[in-house]
Amino acid sequence: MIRLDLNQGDRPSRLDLERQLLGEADLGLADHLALHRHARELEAARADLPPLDLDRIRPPPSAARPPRRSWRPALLLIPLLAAALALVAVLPEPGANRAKGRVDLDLYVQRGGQAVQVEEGEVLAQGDRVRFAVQADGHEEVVVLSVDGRGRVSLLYPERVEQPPVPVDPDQRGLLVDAVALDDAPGPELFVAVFGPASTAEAVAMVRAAQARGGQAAVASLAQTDPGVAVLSVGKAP
Amino acid sequence: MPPTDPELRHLYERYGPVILHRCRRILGDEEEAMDAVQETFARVVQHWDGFRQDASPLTWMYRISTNWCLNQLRNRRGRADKQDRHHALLEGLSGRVLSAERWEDRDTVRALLQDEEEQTQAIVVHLFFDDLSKEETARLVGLSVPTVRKRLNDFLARAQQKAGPLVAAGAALLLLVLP
Repeated sequence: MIRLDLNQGDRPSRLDLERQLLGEADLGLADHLALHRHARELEAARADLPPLDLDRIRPPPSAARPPRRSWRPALLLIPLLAAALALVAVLPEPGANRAKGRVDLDLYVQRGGQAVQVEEGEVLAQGDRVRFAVQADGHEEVVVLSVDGRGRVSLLYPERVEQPPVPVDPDQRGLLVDAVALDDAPGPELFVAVFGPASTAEAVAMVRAAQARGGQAAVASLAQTDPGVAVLSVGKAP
Repeated sequence: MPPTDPELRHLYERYGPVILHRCRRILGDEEEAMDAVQETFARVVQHWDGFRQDASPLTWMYRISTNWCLNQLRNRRGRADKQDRHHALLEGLSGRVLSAERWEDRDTVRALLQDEEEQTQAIVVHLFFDDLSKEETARLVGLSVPTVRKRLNDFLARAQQKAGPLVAAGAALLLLVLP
């Protein structure tokens, strides 16, 4: 059987050593030899570090933010329950403002008899009924959760943690069935879509761990660090 | 508000060597590691607000650079020269204990990672290349420790399967040539 020589918690990890060397943590590491050796390795890397390429790392002005997408009515194909739903959504051209090959989460709220897409940071109110649209990018299932301003993680799709993740069309954008009424929890509120988890419990654990680690900022950063996660943040009117 | 040039230079001076050292270890390719450092800082600029709010900038950069490195490893899949080397690395692997302190073992684990899904790749990178414990890895990838352990065991089982046929083929060849 192939085995890996892994850290069983009996020695400082490289991350521990680096935190200690950067002064970000005082871990009381007794392993001075490992610390010394790692410091020498980092000094060697420092000597080889190429100059910071500001032209490369700063986005060109034209790419800083894409223009707002033009709105175009599109017919939604929702399996089975579509006809029963009163909410008629107006969806943008799929992927119009997102990089191709990314999962995506959009939110729609009913305004004046029409479903209007909620923009990032837009303020919603208690009682607003919202619907979710997802772009699964090849994934076949999704779990959607919310994290409110108090840090409470709530499961939206499916309803219970013992249920399997909700099936979605892997190839095209689609609406999740049923609307969700917003409660009186304070904002800002994050909506998180976790695509392709092994179970609903796994998705819940991941979001809870992020919330425990660094609050909403850590939850929001899941979308940057995990290509299978999409996050949308909205404000809540008091 | 995007970061100023002095802010970026300060961050680069502080964290650049750590990221370069780590990416060298994961990628085993000097040019790709240099690219990975610049790309990691490009993402710091893109996600500046989130970066500033994160409790640990280093952990944040670990995650970002992990994603970049894994993308690079996946991009190697179609390259014939890497594939030939991949098969060569898997020969005689059965029963081995692979250590990140040996460069040839790092090569082997990179080869084994190529067909894995992203989360398993990240788990193995943190456990093997970063020498994190399972508890630290679970926190970093946002999974439970039992799930991390299961993903690791599944990865090792698949690695064994990859090595198995080659070992068996080698043994069969040996039998054929023996007098």
